[in-house]
Amino acid sequence: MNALDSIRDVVARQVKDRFGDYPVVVQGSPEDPDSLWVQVFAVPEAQELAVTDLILDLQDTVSPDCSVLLLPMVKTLEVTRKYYPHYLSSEPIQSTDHVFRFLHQRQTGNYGIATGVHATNTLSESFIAGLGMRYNSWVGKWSKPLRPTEKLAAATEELATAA
Amino acid sequence: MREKSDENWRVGTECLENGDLNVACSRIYYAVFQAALAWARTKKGFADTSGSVHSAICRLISREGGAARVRDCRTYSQLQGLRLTADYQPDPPSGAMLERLLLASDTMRQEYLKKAQ
Repeated sequence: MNALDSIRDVVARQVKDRFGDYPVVVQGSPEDPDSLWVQVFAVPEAQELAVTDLILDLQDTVSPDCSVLLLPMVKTLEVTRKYYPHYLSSEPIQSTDHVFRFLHQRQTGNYGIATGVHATNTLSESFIAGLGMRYNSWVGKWSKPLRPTEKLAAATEELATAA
Repeated sequence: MREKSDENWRVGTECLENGDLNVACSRIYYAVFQAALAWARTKKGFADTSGSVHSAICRLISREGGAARVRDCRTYSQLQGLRLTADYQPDPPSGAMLERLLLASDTMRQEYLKKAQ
């Protein structure tokens, strides 16, 4: 693996670690072999600046002299829905928050946040009940599952099987 | 280069007011690029004319040091990302992001035009 590939991996991983909900694609620029487009999709408008700032901060970490240049290209949810819809339906579960969101969408019918809609539709009612979580509509929050890590693994497995 | 930079800036900001984001982004980027290019040519002996010239300018800025280096590199990278979106991708660049960058872009542009003299 060369230096460029390794920077590409580090950038993708760091963005995933901080904003795991959003699909990330890091690719070379057609104008310059040492510039990387850092594309992050399905970002809520309120997070657009935070994601951009993270990419700019990473520049100082991975290549402070800009020998490899990171170019932030952050796509909001609205833009992703209209121009890159394929990034909204094939997203794997990456965190407990994902499961919470799927279940929230399933129970409330609110698909305002489009990420994970496909996955939501594959969860069975019995499985949702089995997670032992309840949605409190008064406060708009899910209770925590009893054993989050095991439950998350089981959720991931069920979704993979259903797909 | 000042005339070109000024013209691009004027057209870019007019297009931004009209909501023509692709053109606005491209012109505003080039207004800043031409100011930085003028400085690079007159003060750094910069002669690159390849497709990599846009990123090469950012690398030159980053090696300058000084308090404004971080601000200028960040502004330029973001503008370049928006311009590449306008040039190569199906979606328009973010108008909100471009609005946020206006002040820093004009400051940077004016400073590099001054430094180029």
